[in-house]
Amino acid sequence: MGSSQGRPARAINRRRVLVGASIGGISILGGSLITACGSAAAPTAPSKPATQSGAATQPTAASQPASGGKASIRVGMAGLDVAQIAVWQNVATEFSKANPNIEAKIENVTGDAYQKYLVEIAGNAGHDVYDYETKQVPAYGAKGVFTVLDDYIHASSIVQPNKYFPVTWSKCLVSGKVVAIPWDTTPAALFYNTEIFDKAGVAAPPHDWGNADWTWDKFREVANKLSNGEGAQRNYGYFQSTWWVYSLPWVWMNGGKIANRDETKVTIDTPEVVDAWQFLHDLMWKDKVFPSAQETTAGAGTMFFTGKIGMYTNGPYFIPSLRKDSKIKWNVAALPKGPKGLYTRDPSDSLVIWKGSKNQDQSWKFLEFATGPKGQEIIALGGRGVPARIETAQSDKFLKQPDGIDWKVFVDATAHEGIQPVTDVWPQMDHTIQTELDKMWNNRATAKDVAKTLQTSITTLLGKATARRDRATWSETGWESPKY
Amino acid sequence: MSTHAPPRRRSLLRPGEGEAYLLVLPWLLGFLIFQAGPLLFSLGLIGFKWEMVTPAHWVGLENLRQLVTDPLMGTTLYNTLYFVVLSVPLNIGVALATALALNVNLRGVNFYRVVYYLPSQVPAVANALLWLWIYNPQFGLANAILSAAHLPPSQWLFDPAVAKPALILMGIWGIGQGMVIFIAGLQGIPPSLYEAAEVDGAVGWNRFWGITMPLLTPVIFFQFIIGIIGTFQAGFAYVYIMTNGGPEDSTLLYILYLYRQAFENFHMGYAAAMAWVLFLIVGVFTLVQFRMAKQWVYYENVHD
Repeated sequence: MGSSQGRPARAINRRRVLVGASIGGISILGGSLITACGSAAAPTAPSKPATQSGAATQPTAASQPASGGKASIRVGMAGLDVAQIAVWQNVATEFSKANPNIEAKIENVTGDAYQKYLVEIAGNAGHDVYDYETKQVPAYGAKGVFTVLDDYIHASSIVQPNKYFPVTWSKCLVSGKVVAIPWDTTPAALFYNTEIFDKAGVAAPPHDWGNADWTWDKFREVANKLSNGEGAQRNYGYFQSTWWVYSLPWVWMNGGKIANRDETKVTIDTPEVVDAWQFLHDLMWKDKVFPSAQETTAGAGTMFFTGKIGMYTNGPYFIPSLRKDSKIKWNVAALPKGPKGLYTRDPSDSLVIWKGSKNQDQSWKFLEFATGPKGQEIIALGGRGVPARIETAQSDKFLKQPDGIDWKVFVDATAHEGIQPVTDVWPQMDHTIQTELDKMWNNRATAKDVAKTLQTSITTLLGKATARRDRATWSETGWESPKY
Repeated sequence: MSTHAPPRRRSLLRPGEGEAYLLVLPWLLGFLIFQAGPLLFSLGLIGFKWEMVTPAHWVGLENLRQLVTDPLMGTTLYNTLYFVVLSVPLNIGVALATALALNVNLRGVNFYRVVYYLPSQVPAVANALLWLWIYNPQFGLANAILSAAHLPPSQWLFDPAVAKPALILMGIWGIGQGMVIFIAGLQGIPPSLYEAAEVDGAVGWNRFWGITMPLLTPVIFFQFIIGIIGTFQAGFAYVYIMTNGGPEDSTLLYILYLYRQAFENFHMGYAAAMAWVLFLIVGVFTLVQFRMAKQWVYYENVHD
């Protein structure tokens, strides 16, 4: 549920505004840095969370009800919207019905949720359970603040690895240990405006992934056919966020990778990566079917909502605002197949237990419930993602919702998920790649130039990551895009 | 228990000093309780690698060594100095000009003073959002004005060459505070001086350069000190909200980079080192200003 999931690189999002507001007056002189993060960084010696519950190594506890009175656990969710709060309140209510001894409190952490989590944890005042965007899990998990869940899983009849989409599950591992349980999966697919297709006399894009006719060339041709007009009146065939992670499916589909599996070699300057980026660049600057930053200042989402963009790659978390703010007729299709395969990206969301929580077993019960059949059924109808549990995702309850959305496209997309390179230097890598790639998006550098610069800077950056930490930092399945 | 009375009781404090300490006590206590600790803590942090939730470990001078080799440090220092060097004199100049224009005895002058002062009271976030729209390359007021003047449109915050000047230009919007101080300074100039000058035949610019400017130099000096310290630290809300340091790091100010190191990368030691380095830079700038002040700041009541 990361607030940054669908962000266009330069858009202002709520997080930015809130944080800007709260630290607009940040003073820099020495100590103010520390006072800025509140009591959590009081000048006591930094230490690990004091409580080291042994629960994780005593799986027997997992199946026992909480002893004594009623326990209360606090669940920190990362920036839910109003509709999602209702969904999770519902999960909490049903959970307490099933577990009368435990009360779960859903607490929405707005703004920079992950930062706030860490500050709480550093102050030994963490929530019992946290919601993380799954791609963030390895980086934070490597800090050792999450409970290792393997023993709980061995003892559980509900949470079993094969019950969840495999790539999503694989991202919950740190050093081969499970530290998170996924509650949804949110692969990107191709949203399209059906009226624009009708008007242009172009057949709608196929909903089945891997359709032989739906290739990059065909996609480019369609994007061109949907574009018309000049200047501010121009209608565009295609848009995707210029945030670099949205270029990853194209890179993977072209056989490219950011680095090899054991991160010994950065491969950004390979032709596979360069050509994929150049393809996107050409859509924007050669064909002019993909609006640039200067042409989307009103917000690309708004442009799609008002029928100025024909196709838009985004995750299912795009749907709530699409249903609320637009009157267009839309549907969702598969991404076009690349020369070297078919991939999409998937942030997905998961729950972790704080290692310092005094309610380890009760927290596990909550994870088990939310990611189990009952919780997943509630989450399935939340309308912003695919339940992480395969059986729920494939149930009619999810696939045949009254909303009429072709959810199957997203479910099928899960078979084509690549894995983003996630490390403990992720924030720096994110900024570095974005800053450089923006030169290409702004037509001031070619994909080749950008790749050349990044090859050097990312090699340095990843060198630092491995120098400071062992390879355990890396997502277990690492760099390779999995094959199915 | 002395056998003879001391000739004079020597107090530890000079007369009035006790009351003075009593008066600063609330601040002093606040400082000692809430700030001194964190201040020292952050100084100590320079020697540690600490990610808040993992145990800190001693790395000696590693953070400072990294500071020197960090390629982004050069960028952020350049950006920040660019802001300081251009924005401080510009703001002071415009504030002074506005103050001079509004330092007249006209009916309703207070209304205009309020009008010019008000924007400085708009919260930074609201201001940032407002100016985002003004600078919008497609629909913004700034480009509408350019096109009305038959000038080519600018990409403003989307153009690395224009983004910094655009933010500096926007800063003029907030001159109200400085203007008010200048007006106060102007009104503190005794009218008798102007009358005497008039008798001597000094008018217009002569009056300005001979009387107004010299007597305003302490105020200008004050504004420079405050302005430079402020500008080194300021702008965070604006670059954070409006550009996020972009495009292409062109508005990545020192303080935004420090924030990223501390609260995105969780490199607390490194961020502490950055903060103290900035403290030193600001300190040096302030010291140099005080040294230079002797050459140009005129204090009326100092006679030598």
